[in-house]
Amino acid sequence: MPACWRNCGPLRPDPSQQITMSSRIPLMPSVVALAILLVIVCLASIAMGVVKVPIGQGLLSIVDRLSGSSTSDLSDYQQAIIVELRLPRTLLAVLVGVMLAQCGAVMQGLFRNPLADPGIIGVSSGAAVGAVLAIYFSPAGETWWTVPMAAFLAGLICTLLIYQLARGPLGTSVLVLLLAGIAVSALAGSIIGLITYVADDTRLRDLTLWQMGSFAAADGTRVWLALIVAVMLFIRFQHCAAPLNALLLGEAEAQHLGIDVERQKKELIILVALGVGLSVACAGIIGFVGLVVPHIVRSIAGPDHRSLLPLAALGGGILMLGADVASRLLIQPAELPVGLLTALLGAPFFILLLLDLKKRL
Amino acid sequence: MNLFEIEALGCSRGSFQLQIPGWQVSAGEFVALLGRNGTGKSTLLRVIAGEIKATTGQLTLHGKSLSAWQGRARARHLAVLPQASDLNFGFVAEEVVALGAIPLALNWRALEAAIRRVMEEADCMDLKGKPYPQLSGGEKQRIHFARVLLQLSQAESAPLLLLDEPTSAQDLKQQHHILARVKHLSETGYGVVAVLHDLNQALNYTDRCTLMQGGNIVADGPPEQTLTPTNVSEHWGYPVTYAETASGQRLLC
Repeated sequence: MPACWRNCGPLRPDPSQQITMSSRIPLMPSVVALAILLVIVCLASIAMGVVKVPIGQGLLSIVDRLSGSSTSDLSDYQQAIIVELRLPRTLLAVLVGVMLAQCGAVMQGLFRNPLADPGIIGVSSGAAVGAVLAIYFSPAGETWWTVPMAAFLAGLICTLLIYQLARGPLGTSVLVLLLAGIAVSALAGSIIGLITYVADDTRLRDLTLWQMGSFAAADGTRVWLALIVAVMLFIRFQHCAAPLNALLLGEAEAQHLGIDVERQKKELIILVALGVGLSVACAGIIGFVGLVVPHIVRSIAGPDHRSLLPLAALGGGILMLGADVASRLLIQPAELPVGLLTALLGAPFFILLLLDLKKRL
Repeated sequence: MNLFEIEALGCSRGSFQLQIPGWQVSAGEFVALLGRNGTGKSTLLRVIAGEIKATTGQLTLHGKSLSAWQGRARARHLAVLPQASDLNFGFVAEEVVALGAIPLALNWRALEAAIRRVMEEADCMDLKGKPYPQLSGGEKQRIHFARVLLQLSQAESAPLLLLDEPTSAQDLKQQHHILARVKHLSETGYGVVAVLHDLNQALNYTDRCTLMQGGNIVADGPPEQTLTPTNVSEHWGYPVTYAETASGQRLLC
């Protein structure tokens, strides 16, 4: 049926109306391009820092360590820097970026709000309280395992608490969930403040560094833990991609589309708690990666979670590691806490998003 | 066997009580839910849709309790067109329609053909590539109409389509287009339940009208029997009479 009375002119003068589904960037080429970029950043991360090493030699020394050969010309000292410091640091930064960006994308889908950040449901703050308590109370030799454990557990407990708070007879109210998140963040902030206030000088330095986020403490334990959780999250999130798309329509609509909304939301919340809790435990509080990366990916590839989640994972790894490399290079021979750098870049981005939102209202 | 059946339904929401001893929809029937505001039409629709749990009673779809249906299978046989649906993410219209395929098993090529077909049916093909958040209320509703048509397109037995004021956001031409489409669907075997406010639409398009008052069904039958001037004046508290157009169509006014 011709409907020329509706086609006579543009509905609203907006250039973005020209977007069509076919103009979306196709998934596979973008995945390949981002993967190549990630490899390049990884190589840069291995080679660059206070001690500069040729990339080829750096890779050879990693091969040497894995296979027991001795093909690299580097000195023992340089090899130790590559294999024991930079390699775990590089891997951890990528894994934390992968987790944070995906958790951000999932949280935004779950809350149906493109401005939501995993921090807002209180997971980051909850995990931070756990970590701070562990730093303060456990003996210095034990923090390598008590901090990740406490951060993860506190993050999980916190999330479940908030979830129970927000649950009503009609399902979970997003509004109550957000308000509960704000309340928990405030409480967590005061507990962290209190501990910081009573802490002695050495612990205070630990606490401050950790609160600003850094990958300097990367080690094998953290890398393995992060790898296991990141792989698990990636697989589960892929299974949740279609339900997440449906949830964007609203909880009632998702239920009409055959999705068990309550079960799905519970699973997603626990997965996000796990990802964010572990990231906080491994590298401290690193904000805005979960906000910036999914937003950029959405503006290029669209909001479909089936492409958003893998692309955000890759983008998160690239951004996180890129920021870490920059934090090592900017004020040599010292280094910036990477969380400070992401906040410096992320906060203005957030303000721009808010301004854009305000303009559209 | 009825497509959909309610037995001894009781559902309380605060002080509001919904009580329906028995009610059914058969395949090929277009039923209008009518009544004044707050009489329980939307609540009933939401109970059927599974959004609100009934306190007591049985709801059966194709002889099987609604809660016993597996989620995706239920979604292929029971779809809801919401009155309005917000979406803050930059999907284009076509991608929103494609969300209707979540409970289906379609390959990419078949999906593309199916999307084109339902969008033509819902008269929104021209909106295909436009960003959904920038569409008008009526255009969004037509996109969702296409989406629910897609959702029901693989039903193995007659599906049930629930419409919550499907014409509320539409212009005159689109109102009649949508109702004619829905009428056609019911003629091909769909069971349709629609909350309507325009009694003349109910009179001219539906097979049966269910009148609700205070959470109860007070009249149920063919439109010309339920929507008599006496009934309407009594239930809506507004005096009406029949008028006849030149083509012989009856109208309440």
